[in-house]
Order: sequence, then C-alpha cells, then structure tokens
Amino acid sequence: MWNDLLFSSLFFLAPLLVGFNFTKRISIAWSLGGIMFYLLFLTSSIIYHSYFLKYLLYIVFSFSVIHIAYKLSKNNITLAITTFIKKDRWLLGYLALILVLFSITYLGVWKQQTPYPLSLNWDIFEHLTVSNKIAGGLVTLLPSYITDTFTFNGYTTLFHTLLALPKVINNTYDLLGIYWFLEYWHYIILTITSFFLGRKVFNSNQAGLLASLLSGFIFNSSIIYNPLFVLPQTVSALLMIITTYDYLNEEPSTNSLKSLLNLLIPCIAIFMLHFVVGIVAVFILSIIFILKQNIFNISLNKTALLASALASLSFFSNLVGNLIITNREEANYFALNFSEKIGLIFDWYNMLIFLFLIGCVLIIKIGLLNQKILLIAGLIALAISLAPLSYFLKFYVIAGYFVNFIIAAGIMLILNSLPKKTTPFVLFWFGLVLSVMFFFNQNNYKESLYFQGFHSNISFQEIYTAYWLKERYDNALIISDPSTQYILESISGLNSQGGAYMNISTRNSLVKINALNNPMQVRNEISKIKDELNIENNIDYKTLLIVGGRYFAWHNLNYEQKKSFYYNIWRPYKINPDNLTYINFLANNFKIVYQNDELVIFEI
Amino acid sequence: MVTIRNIIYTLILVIIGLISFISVITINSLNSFSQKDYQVKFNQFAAVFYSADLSSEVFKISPLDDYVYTNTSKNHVIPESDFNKAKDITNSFWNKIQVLLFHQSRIIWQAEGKNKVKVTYEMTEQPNSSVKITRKFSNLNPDTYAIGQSIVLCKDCFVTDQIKRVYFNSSDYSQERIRLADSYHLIPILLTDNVLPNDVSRIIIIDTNFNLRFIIPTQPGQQIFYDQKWSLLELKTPVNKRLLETSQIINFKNVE
Repeated sequence: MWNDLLFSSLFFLAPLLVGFNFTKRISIAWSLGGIMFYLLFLTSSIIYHSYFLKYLLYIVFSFSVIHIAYKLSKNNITLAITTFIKKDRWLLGYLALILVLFSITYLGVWKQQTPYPLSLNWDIFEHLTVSNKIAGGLVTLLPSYITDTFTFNGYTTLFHTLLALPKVINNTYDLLGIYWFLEYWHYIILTITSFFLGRKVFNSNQAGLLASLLSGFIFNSSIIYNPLFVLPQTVSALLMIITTYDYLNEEPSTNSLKSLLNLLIPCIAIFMLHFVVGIVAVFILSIIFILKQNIFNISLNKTALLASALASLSFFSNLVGNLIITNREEANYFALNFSEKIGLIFDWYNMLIFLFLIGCVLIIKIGLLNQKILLIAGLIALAISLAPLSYFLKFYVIAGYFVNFIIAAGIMLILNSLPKKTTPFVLFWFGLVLSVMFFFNQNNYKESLYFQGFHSNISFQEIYTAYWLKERYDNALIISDPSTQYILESISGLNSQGGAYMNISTRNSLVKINALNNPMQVRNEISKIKDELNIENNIDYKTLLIVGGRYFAWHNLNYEQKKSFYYNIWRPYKINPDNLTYINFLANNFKIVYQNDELVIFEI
Repeated sequence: MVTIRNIIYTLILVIIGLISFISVITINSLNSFSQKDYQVKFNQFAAVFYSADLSSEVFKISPLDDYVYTNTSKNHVIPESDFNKAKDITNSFWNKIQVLLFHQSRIIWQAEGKNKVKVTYEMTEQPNSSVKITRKFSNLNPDTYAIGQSIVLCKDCFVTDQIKRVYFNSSDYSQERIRLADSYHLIPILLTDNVLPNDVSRIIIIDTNFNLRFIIPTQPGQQIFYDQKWSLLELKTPVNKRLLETSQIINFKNVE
C-alpha cells in the first residue's frame, strides 16, 4: 500500500522530472515531460521488449535527477530558498495548513468508508483497462485501437501512458491501488494550485487560502466530479489552471511571442488529455492571453459586462429548451433543463452562489487587471458550460475553477473594506460552512454505493476474484453483465466484449442465455459473443461465464434498461437464494472454476 | 472605527454563510425520512426503497411497472419504448425551498413518457414508521377506470397476509421456498391466476429469515395480483376520472 502512495506520484512527478531539464515553468515542464513519455512509449512499442522500456525509464529518470541536481547546485538553491521564505514567512504555514486540512478531508471524510483500494469513481476501470494494456506493451495513439471498452476516442493515451508508468517499472504493481492514491495527489495539487493562483491574483495569502478552500470543498458531485476524481478531463482542466498561473506569473517584460510560445506546449498537452474539454480550455487560455496582452485594446469592464450578458443569455435560454447533440443514447441524460441546472448549482454552492454575483460586480467596479481577466474568462467558460446543449455541462470542469475564484473575490473584496482583524474570523467561518456543505454533498453521492459496511463501486470479493483470474488465466474472454465484466477486465487484465459498453448484440445474447434451459443452446449463444477488435479474437482464449449478484440484478432490469449504456449496476450485490436455481442449472452443465458469495465463474 | 458599511458587509458575509449552513443541514436531514427505517433513492427508472443502512433493497416503484386500465386495455403507465426521462424533484430548487419553509417531509419523483403521460410519485412521511405514496397522473387515456399500483418486491421475500397465508404462483414456485414457509407456520396458497383472495386486508411482506419488511393495508374495491416471476405485487385500484390520483400507505413496523 505505501509503495502505491509513492509510485502513484509518478503520474505528476515523472513528467516534471524530465521536463525540468528544459524549463523551470511547471506547466511547460509537465506537458513536455508527459508528451516525451507518450512519444517514447509509442516509438519503443515498435521494438518493445519486456525489459527495454523499464530500463529506458531508469536511464531517463537517473539522467534527469543528476542533471537537475547539478543545475540546482550551480544556482545556490539554499540561498534561493531562504530568501524566498524570508520574503513571505507565512507561506509555508499556509501550505502546511492546506496540506493537513485536505489530507484529513480526503482520507478521513471522502475515503472514510472506502478503504484502499476500493473506488468511488466508476470511470477508472476503463482507464485501468487501457493502462494495463499499455504496460503490457500494447501502446497506441488512441484507446479504441486496443480495447473495445472505448466506443469512441475522446482523447489520446497520454493519460493512460502516465498512469501505466508504475506498472512498466514493476509489473507486479496493481494500478487499482495506484489510482486510489493518485486521486489524493490530484486533490492536493489542485488545492495548492488554487492557493497560488488566488494568492497571485489578490496578492494575499488569505485570498489564496479562500480560493483553496472553495476548490477543495466544492464537490461537483454530478457529471463533472471535480476535485475528487482523476479523469482525463479533470487533469486537462487542472493543467489549464496551472498554465494560467504560470502565464499570469510571467515577468512583465516577457514579449508577446515568447508568451505565446510558452503557452503552446501546455495547450498541446491539454488537448491530448481530452480533445473536447481541451479545445475549450485552449480557447479560454487564448482569451486570457488576448486580454493580458491587450491585443485589441478593449475596455476590460465593457468586455466583462458583455461576458456576463453572454453567460446570462446562455443560462436563461435553458428555459426555452435543450438541443440534443449526437444520437448516442446517453445524450438525453446529459441534457439538463433550467430547473435541473439550478438544482445542481444549489447543491454545490447553496447560498454562496450569491457571492459569485457580488464577486462579479465588485471585480468590475474595483478589481485589478488579473482579477478582471479571470472574471471575463470565467464568464465565457460559464456561458459555454451552461448552454442548452447536451454534454455541454461537462465544460463546467473548466468553469468551476473560475466560479470559485470569483466567489473568493466576492468575499475578499468585501473583506478589504473591513478591519484586518475580521479576516481570520471570516476565513474560519467560510471554512466551516464549506466543510459542512462538502460533508453532506459527498455523503449524498456515496450513499447509493453502500455495500456491507463500505461505500464503493467494487467489493473486496470482486477484487480477489480479479486477482485470481489474473493468476489463473493468460487469455480469457469474460462474459458477464456489463458492470461485472467492466470491473473484472480492468483489474485482471483479461478481455471482455466492451466492458460496461458492451454492444447490443452481446446484451441480447445475455438476455437470451438467462432464459434458456438447454445447455447446448447456452453454449451456442455464448459462442456468438466476440470482441470487436480482431487482435483480441486472433488469440487462443478460454471463455468464462461469470454470474453473481450484479449479474442477476442486471437481469432484473427491464429491456430498455438492459440496452442502456447509461444504466449500470453501480455497486456490488451478493448472490441471493433465488439465484441458486439458475446457478445450479449452470453447475450441472458447466465446470465451476471459482466461487464466492458474490460471484460464480464457469468455464465454457 | 465601526461604520455602517462595515456592519452591512459583515452581515452579508455572515448571513449568506449562515443560510447555507442551516439549509444544507436541514435539507439533507429531510432527504431521507427522519425515522430512519428506510431510505429512498432514485435511479433513472424507479424510486427505490432501501433498508435504513442501505444494505438491501426493500421495494421499488416505477411507471414502467404500474398499470393503466381502460375499458378495452391494460397497459403500463409508461411503456418501456415510450420512457423519456425521470427526475428527482425533491432536489429541485423549488422543492428544497418549500421543504425549508414549510418543513414538509416529502420526496417527489416525476417521470414522463414520450406519449406525454406524466406521473408524479409523492412520498410523504407518516407517523409510526409509515410512508404514504401518492401517484398523480396527467395525460392518461380519458377512459381510465383503474390504476394498477405496482410494487416490485425484494427478490427473496414472501407475500403473506393477516391470517398467515403465504402466496405462490402455481406456474412458478420452488419446493425449497414452500418448505421454508411451512417451517414458519405459514399456510402456502398456490394462485392459479395470480389473484389474491378478496378477504386480504393486510399484505405482509417478510424475508427468508421471517423478518418483517413492510405491510400494505388494502383498500375496499382493490384487486391484488402477485406475479412471483417478476416479484411484482399489483394493487388494482379504481380511480375517479376527474381525479387521477391514487395513494397507499406502507408500514415498516407492525402497528395493529
């Protein structure tokens, strides 16, 4: 477990380590390092050998560490650190406070009943599936090339490559445990980044702390899932914010062309992490660039008013209706109407949303340059995310950062009019309010995932089953309900048809199988189930039918629900006595190779 | 020096924080009914009642399972193919304000079909560990004369009544379950047409350990159907054509 704590940090540290050889700017260093790893994996896959990439990584890390140590020694780092600390004695104290507060929040509240390595993030399993394949030597540009769990490509495999690093170094590492700690690092980095950006924009540690509190305690518990989930889109948005900080922190004397070039590499990485969110993130960064460089010589106040009109128009146009984009079945569920969007905002911010309005007004009236720039960028991001189009609310993963800053601005600009003595009390008061809001919000999210004393998408029994499968089989096709095979595929490394995104033909086969009482017919129906990727079908494999609590819960759904990608059995279930009749029928005709009180595995 | 502006600004910050603090505690404590005998959650297609610790599903209700009776047909309120969308109105902004202001313990879930049929399920807390489920319909066929209030039961539960009869479908039962029921001194009854006898005044649902899950008092004029294969209990209830609304009480404790 403690190895996973260390190695999970490689996702963030490894690219930095490599990138720092070339630049001191964090956004460029991480982006450059990440892209270099991605290209390294792609090129090495041509001549891949199980040890080649591992030793290449050792060489790259060793060189980077030596090179950076040499550069630091030349620059008298001790003097630089002591000068920095003397300049702002309280900075370390604030950082320590944030680290302790949000470590307790993450480990003591969010993961209170989700011990290592259980998960509350349903999406991790598809990413684990891809990363396991990459760590096994199957590297590719896009995820759908190596697994049919992905029915379309929303990103490159940059995210998955970085996630796979610990397993490339040591293939005994289980990425499920790595992910558990990865989300901790993401959370801490996000809150610290918010602190630094707030501190920069308001020139105050208290403002930074406020921004950090908002970023850490406002949990977007539906559709977006910031700040607690690590997903390609959340990492893309985080990189955008880090890039924003780096850009606003530039020396004023930096010329426009150099500024633009400094943004280029992070923008490429942001796009590679998530195409659609990346495009909007790059667009927002370009807005920030244009405003900061004053390219069009426009009044910021007028631009802010225009942006707020745009955001209002976008929001209130939801009253007219929603436009469904794409003909994907789930699109309808991502088209929220006006009332639902207000409901979500109220869930996440409660009455603090009024401070957003106050913040907008105060920034326009008395805000500084960087504050106005963030306001305009935030309002444009908000206009995009609140538009009455299906899926567009997902862009709130970007807009949310700016909304938090504007709320922080609302509080800080009011505080600036009050005696300085009130600041600690106000910070404490909002810290308390936000922590209570967070507690209930995250609790509401977790409640439906309760199973046998834990809140989780998966159970320990399912994990042990997956480990057993990994040990026992080199190649197998897992056939079960969408949720079961999705989870088992990701942890065991064995294959399934589509995971949770199994196609209609396979779903229909599963429905038929459950109604058959002739073993030959069951066998024939199972034989029709094939992976959609030819590379998987060309291997010799065993076929495993896995039934269990989730499987029977899925069969209890009606046909519309069974067809749906959007509906899954999100938490584990035990086998109940009514299921035994069917299990006994299968056991009389097929070989049981494994069973526990949640799952039974038959070799067909 | 304390100025009026300072006071106003301080009050703004304090009041906004205070309202957020109080409302988040109040609303969340009302989302699951305070007696804590059960919790109600929603998925895209159904309102699901769980045991208090969320460890097991007790029953669920859905327009995909409820029936509409007209003179010529019996159909689901919203057929599968027509199902459009469901939403938990409990958490809508307006309902939360009502809950805050009037302190009503009420959960509302609404579903609509592409056929324009809309059904609202209101679950209201009642004394003695009970909940009242009211179904309000709009845009139904004007010839509707009865609603089949369906409840999908826990899979391993038994359907019994006030005189300890336990019901099975003659087409779908197992000897193990009959033996188990017999061991609890229940009288097994095989239903040939899924209809329970007219003298059932209380439907008592128990689990395989003879623990009470819930009780439904029946109403005059109701016809009760039990389909064991789907664990579906249906109470066919006559409705007034002007007021397409039905209600039923579910007791989680045995209160005679």
